[in-house]
Amino acid sequence: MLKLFSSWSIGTQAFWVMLLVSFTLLGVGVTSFSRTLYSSQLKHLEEDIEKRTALFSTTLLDAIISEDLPVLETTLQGLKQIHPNLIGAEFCNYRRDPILSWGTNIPSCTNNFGLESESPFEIITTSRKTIIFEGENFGSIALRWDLSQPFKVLKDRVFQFTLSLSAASLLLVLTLFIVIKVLVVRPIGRIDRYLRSVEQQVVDSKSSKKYGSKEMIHLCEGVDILHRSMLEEYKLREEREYLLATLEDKVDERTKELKLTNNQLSSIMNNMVEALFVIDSTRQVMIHNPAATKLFTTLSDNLVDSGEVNFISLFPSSVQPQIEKILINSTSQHIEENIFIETGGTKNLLELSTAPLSSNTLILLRDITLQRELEERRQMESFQSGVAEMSITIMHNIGNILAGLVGQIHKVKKGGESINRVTTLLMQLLEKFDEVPVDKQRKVIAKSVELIDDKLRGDIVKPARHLEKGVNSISEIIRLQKSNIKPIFQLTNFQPRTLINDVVIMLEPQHKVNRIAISIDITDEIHELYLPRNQLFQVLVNIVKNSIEAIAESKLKNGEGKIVIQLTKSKVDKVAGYLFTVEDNGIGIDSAQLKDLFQFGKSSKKDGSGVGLHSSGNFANSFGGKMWVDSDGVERGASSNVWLPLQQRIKV
Amino acid sequence: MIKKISAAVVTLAVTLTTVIAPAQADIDLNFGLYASDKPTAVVKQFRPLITKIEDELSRELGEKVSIHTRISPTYEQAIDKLATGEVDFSRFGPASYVLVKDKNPAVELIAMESKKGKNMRKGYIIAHQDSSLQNMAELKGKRFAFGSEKSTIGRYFAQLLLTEAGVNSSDLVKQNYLGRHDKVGESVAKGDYDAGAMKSSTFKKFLKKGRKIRVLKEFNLATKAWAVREGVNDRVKTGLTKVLMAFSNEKDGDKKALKILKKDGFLPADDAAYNTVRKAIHNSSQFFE
Repeated sequence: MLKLFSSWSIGTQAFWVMLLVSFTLLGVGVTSFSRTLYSSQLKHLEEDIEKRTALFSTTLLDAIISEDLPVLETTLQGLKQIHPNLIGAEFCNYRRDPILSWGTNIPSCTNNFGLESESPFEIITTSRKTIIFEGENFGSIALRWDLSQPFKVLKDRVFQFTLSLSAASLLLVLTLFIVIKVLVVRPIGRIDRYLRSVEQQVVDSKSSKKYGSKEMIHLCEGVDILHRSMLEEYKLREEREYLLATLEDKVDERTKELKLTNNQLSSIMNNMVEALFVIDSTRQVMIHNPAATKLFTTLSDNLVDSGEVNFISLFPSSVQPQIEKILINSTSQHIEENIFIETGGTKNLLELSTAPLSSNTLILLRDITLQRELEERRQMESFQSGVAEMSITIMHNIGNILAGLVGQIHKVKKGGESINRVTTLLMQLLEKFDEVPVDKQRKVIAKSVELIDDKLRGDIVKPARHLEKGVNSISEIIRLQKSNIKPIFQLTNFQPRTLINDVVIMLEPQHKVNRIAISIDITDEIHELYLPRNQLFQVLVNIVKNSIEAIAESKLKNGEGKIVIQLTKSKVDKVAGYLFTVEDNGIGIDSAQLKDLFQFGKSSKKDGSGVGLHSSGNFANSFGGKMWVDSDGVERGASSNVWLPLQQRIKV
Repeated sequence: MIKKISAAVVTLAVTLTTVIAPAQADIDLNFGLYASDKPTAVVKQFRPLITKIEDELSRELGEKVSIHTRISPTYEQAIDKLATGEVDFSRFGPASYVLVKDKNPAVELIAMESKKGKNMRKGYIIAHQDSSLQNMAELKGKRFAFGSEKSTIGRYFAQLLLTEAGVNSSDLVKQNYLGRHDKVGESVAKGDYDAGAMKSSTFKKFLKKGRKIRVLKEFNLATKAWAVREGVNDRVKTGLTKVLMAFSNEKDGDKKALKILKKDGFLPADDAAYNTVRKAIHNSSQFFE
């Protein structure tokens, strides 16, 4: 049997197994359902008998209370007709003495009360009920029921229902399995045959058409596609194996290339003048080049060639906050900034550039101290050259005029000599006046007057006019030179923080004596300025120096002085520019003095020369800027403000 | 053999139970009534009064007293039950009392119901409101509705008054015993009969309902009688009499029980109060002559 079963296809096996299981489940289900139905109906029958007994007791209540035998008999007759399966009855009074008994199988009131049946399927059943009214026991009734007919009806109905249910279920199961056979088992067989043909390579793309249903055609076509895909996959696999075989060579070749590139990169790094660092998010130095080691070996003893080194710790503590601030911003943008550091009496200016890497930061450091000095020197030379050129021009022009004036002076000199000679003749005439006849005297005097007049006109007055003209020309040249000469502003790109740091360092001896706290506040977006650095430097030195002296003159104790140097973007008369503000808490300025502060020789300080603010103001004005000083009064501090217009940036 | 042993064991158990258990001191009494209404309605009506008597008598006698209500479907059965001693005490109308006394003179009247402090009440001969009848004598040739054949008002007093007015049974064109007072009232109101006999409480009830009836003749008769059977225990009889006499409308507990009787208490027994009824019953044959 098992052998026969094994020889069937899996579809046929599944069909028969499912059929067997379904029949078993059907049998169990129908039997269980029939039993439940029978019990339910029986319970219903018992409840019905109980209800009827209760109804009897209600109907007979008055007759039993009054022990009215005729009424009891009449009522019983009526009940017998309504309930043909009632076969016996007994009605008792409150002493349980029978009042009326009827039937062939008379029940007894004296037994326990309630529905009595020997088994669930007992055909004869007795029901009993005590008649209690207003709390008083008036008697009882016992009724005997022949339930043969209802039982028979119940059994017949359950049997018929079970039979119908079984037939319907059987029909359903058979229909279901026919459907399964047609829709599942048979198609599985077809697919099996088709797959065999695919396996044996005897199938063409049109062979699926003969498998009837649309779904089957789709399935077969799917198998075709799968088959072709597998062939392609096989082909690809062969190619991949070939590629894998050649890949190793390519990897070797690429490794060599990378090594070469790496060597070149190392060479670049090693030969770089700039110090290169790669730091991680915790500021630890991950990579650095020899230039970095060299730079920081001279600046700090903290650098070690290996191990973990914090980048910020390489710098003096005075600039560490500035470095920290740069690094915070460097994670998202490229930053270039100059850093002024001083160690061991040596002042260095470093140009720091950052570039964000994926999770690290690339930093380039270049020592631009020498470059900056050279630039400043070039600016000075340029300035001096300009001054010399201008002087030569002026001298040349004045020389030309003076050359012209020499001839006139010579004429005046000649005229003077002639007059002198006339004067000598006249003196000689005067000595011999009495001896000379009057006529001759008159002639000599007239001649002398004529000569003096001639000389005065030709040799004195005329050259004097020429001299006057020449002097006027010189004045005119000087005036013209003055009006034509504009201050020479050497515009350069520089970092404001560096400039201000330089100013603070310049005045370090003064503010350190008074222990003045100087803070620098620069708006974050101002990283670079394009302004005349030298003049601005001199102006800032002037006003910071003024603030230091104002603090020194005030009543503040040593260490209480504060100066804030601020740089912000600001507009004056709708023109964009930069505003430098130096604010102190020093002695302050009387309001009456404020308006004269920029006049030459005027100063609010005891020993002030009145030149610093005057020249600073001139610079601001000549640059198209503005300068003013505010103060709330004596001992209430002051703030000096320099506003310079934004210049078109020229990248050098 | 097993059956015999089982029977012996059961017998022994019953004997031991009887001996060991305390003596039953309960007094069971049967109170007789006849079904003047539906038996369930009568039980409902009298149960509070019976319960009150049970409590008071138990207290009076110092024993637990249980009173069972025995309602007879007919006057005859009620009379027989007291006369034969099947019930211990009964409440009767005047006619039934006279009849039970005739049947067994040893039956003893122990109390009479009090109507406003008197042992007399009213009965009526009624006619239709639109009737032209002015007196009893005009009932000749008319239709008359009687109550029960054993009813004092419904039969005996009505026939006595008809006889006294010169109207005999043969003078009536239609006469019938309708069984109950309410049935008499309904038939006269409907016009099925020209006149009928009715107790005062039913008459008042009908007027309230708006039935078209009026009084043709008013008469007095004794209130209901409470009597005990022959040979009842003297202690019980005395106790019961005492309990009944103690009922008073003034007591809250009694008021509810007396309300159902529509009386205000009980009065001492006076057999002479039933003489008029006795006369009516004894001379009732004259009506049919």
